[in-house]
Amino acid sequence: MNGLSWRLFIAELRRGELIIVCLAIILAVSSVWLFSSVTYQVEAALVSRSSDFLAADRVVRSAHPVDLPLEQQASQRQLNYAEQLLFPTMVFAGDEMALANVKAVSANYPLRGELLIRPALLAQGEVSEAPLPGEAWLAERLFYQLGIDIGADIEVGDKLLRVSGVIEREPDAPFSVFMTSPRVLINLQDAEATGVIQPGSRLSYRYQFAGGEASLTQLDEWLRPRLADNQRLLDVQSAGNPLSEALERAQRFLLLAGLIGVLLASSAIAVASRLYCRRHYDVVAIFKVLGAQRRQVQRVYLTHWCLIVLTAVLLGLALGAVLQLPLSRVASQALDLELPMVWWRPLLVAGGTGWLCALAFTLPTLAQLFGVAPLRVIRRDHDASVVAPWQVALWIVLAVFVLLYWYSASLQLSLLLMGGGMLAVLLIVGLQTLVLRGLTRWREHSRSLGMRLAISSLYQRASSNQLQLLGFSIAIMLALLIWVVQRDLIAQWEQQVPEGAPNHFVLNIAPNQLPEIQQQFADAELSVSQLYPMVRGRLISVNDEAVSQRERSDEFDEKQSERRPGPGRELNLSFADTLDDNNKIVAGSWHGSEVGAQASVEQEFAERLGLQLGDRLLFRVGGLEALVTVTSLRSVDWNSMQPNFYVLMSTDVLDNFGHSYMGSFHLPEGNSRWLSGLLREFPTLVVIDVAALIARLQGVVEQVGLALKLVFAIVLVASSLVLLAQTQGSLDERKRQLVVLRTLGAGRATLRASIVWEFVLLGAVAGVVAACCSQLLLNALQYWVFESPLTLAWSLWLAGPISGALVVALVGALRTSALLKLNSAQLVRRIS
Amino acid sequence: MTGQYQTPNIIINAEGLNHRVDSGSEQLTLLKDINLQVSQGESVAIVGASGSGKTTLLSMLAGLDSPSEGEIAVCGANLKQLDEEQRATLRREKLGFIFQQFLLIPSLSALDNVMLAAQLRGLDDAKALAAEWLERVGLRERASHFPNQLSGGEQQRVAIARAFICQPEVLFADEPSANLDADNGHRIEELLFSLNQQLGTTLVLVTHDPSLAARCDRVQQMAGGALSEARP
Repeated sequence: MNGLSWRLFIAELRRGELIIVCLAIILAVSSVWLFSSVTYQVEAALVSRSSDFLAADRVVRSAHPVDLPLEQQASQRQLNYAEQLLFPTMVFAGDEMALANVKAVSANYPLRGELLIRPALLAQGEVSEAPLPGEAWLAERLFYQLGIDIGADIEVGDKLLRVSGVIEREPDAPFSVFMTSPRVLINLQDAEATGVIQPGSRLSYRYQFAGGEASLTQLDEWLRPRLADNQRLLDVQSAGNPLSEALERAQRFLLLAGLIGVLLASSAIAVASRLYCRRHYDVVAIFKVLGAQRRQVQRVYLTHWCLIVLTAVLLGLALGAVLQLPLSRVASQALDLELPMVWWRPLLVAGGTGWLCALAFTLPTLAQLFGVAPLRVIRRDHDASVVAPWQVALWIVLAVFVLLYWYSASLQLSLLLMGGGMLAVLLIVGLQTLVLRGLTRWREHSRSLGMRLAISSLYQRASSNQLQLLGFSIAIMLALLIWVVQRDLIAQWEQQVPEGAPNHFVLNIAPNQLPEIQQQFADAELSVSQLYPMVRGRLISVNDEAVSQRERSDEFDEKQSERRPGPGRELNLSFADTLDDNNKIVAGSWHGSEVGAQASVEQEFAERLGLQLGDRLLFRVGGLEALVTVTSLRSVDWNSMQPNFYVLMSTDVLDNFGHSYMGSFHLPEGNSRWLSGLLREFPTLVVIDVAALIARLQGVVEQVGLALKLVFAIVLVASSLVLLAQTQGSLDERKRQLVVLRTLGAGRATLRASIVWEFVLLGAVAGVVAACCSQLLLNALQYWVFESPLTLAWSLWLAGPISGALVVALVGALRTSALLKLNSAQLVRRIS
Repeated sequence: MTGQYQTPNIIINAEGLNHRVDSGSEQLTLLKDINLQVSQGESVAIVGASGSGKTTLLSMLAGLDSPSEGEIAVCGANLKQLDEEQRATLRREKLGFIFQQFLLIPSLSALDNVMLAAQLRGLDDAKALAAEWLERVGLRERASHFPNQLSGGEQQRVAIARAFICQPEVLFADEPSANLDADNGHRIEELLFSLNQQLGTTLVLVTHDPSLAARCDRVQQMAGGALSEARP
């Protein structure tokens, strides 16, 4: 039987269904490989660096100097000790300037992990310790921004430093994709001389320890009770990794987005294998009449199945591995992380997905095939179903749920997505039905016979078309969304900023610098916004009830978990007696110039933390505390390009704290020399260019767009496969229809029109549905994310149906073109 | 399984066959109290109008379907006592089939279609045997052709070669020439009866063609589900 089984297999490959099953599995496997391997690579890179992520075993982190004998405690316990001070500032080289993140480190940095420094831009990295006093090491990006090379001098605040190295890798580098300024590494001894360390400056102090576990435990016991709430003790576990949570979310998103493609591919598998099995009902019946036993039939078909799935999974893995390389490069550049090759996990997930899809979406039909009775050779209508339709449906729902759970690792999320997905499908199918009904009514008014035939065919195949319509609707919707968000929404958001609106933020203005800086702005005829005093403080308690100091939602700390929710970080607090137009009081009354430790809280922030009027908030700022009462809630226009704060306190609270000022201003083009002069005169100032922020936002949108484009491509190919499978299934019926029409005298042009119009209309219906859904999603984005006015995107309504019609007509015409070339005699022969 | 079913002189013995099916609210009686004995080497034609139940009776006798009531013994085996797999074994070892629709496997060549029956039987020289049988039915040159490349008559000749390759004890033929023109139909009938005689195979032939039926040793008339001896 083996030779026969093989010849049967080769002959079947020519028929097309098995090729569609094969292509669909290749698509599912390669897309899952693509998405999973990159996220696993990033994860592996993080895990391999977790031991030296802190560059120490323990770190005490604080925005203010810690007044404890830390160095003495470390030395008593034979622990290595190092200190760091981090601050953002502008650095200058000649006329060029750039915002940098300065890290001043003590001589023995890093205590753990490796600091790799290159002596020249193109040299190899060497393991190094802290830079010598008077020297600075820069991230490569800064060399290009400042237009300098090794040996150049740069100004960090008041201090002139000689550039002597390029930072290739620092163990405790931040992992933020957004808003990260490039690093400048200097010696801690030079920090004071920069003149940046002033009351109210944005500083971060880190005290690091490394050594034996027993000594570290003793240190923990000594430290914990002595640390204030705004000082944090971190070890490798509790520090976690700021990227890991985002990574986990990205991983889930990508896999679940990829799941749309996987499910559509699985639909193609199901449709094609059902066709294949149906066509083989007679073959199995003949086998059985000739005396084949069930296991012989099973052996023949399971051999075919295994050959197809195995080949497809291997090809899918190979394709995924090839496509992964450019994607890994993009991720590596975006995250500034060297990604190791990861094989086993994506292999398992992608390969497993392939086998699971093949199992779930073909086994019910195969079981049906094995159960075909020999009596079918005599009674063709004999169809003793061994698997009930509800059993097939249950089996498929179960398989989808297993995939969802496997990808999301969350039962709640899986149930939510399953329910949400079903609702979305119902919505899309409902829309399709409406559009199709409208089309059917229009049939009566159409003069073209080809068009009328096409609409009838579409109506006749309405239920089997639903799946491919769903797929194409989703694919077109994704494409439209990517297009409209990248082109229109960002542009619209940019345009929303009125002419002359502030385009720069200035921070870190010391109180004594205030009159002089205001004078400089006045001399340059530049208007600066209201300048707000600012301190950084941590919310400690609400109505004497301590709030959680957890910085990440998955951070485990029993003591913190039991507390009421907190903001999760230090806040910028400000003080004012007047309100600008961007703030509107929505509850209570504005404190104005009244004193009495009052606070006005932004309404969404209040909602998130469950704050109400009359609540007493205790903040810790440095070593001091401020107790204020909430007397008003405000709405804030965050798009105003003005300084905005969650908490605005009455001015009497200000007197207790060292603070700096911030504001915003509009700098007309061509005035960068003036700004450079200002920053050189006041080196502690930090200026953020909003145009650069928008450019970064566009970068982020582009990266998200890349992921969406990948999903789109996968969904498009999967939908085309579903279409091919369905068309394959309808070929015989189409042939019969063509014979009848030919016999009745229909010309080739009419026949071609009837087939082409059918696919054009199918694509157009998918496009209309996609445009409808995209419009809804676009408005949702405008309302909730960009907070811009809702618009009707006409381009969607044009692009959707046109692109849908073109793509579907192309795929459909390719599959059916051979039919139209046949003459009547050939058609009749093919049917018989 | 060879040898499990002893072959007595009476090779097919059907007693008290009744068969009913549900059709909506009412019950249809397809077979009514049928008794039939066929001796070894005998050829029996079952004739009757369309819908008289002759094909239903054939499917019961060949073990493709089971009657509502009654006993059937084929080649000494009581079909009622055999499960689906055992009946498949009986068909493989002892029975052969020819159908009106030819029922060749479209994705296999003529040679492969003939070989299939021998391979299922586990014969070592299946390929040589298949080639030999194709030659006997005059299709040696067409061995590598697929069914859709053959005419109706040629397809039925392939089906005959497939039916005889394992030299079955009983051959069931369901309207073997009904789908063919008179010329081709006649040639197929000749081939069928000549091979039947050469090999001494018992033949149960279902047909509505009186002239074809007349070539059999015995003719049974089927009407309204009941069977009666027909006068030649």
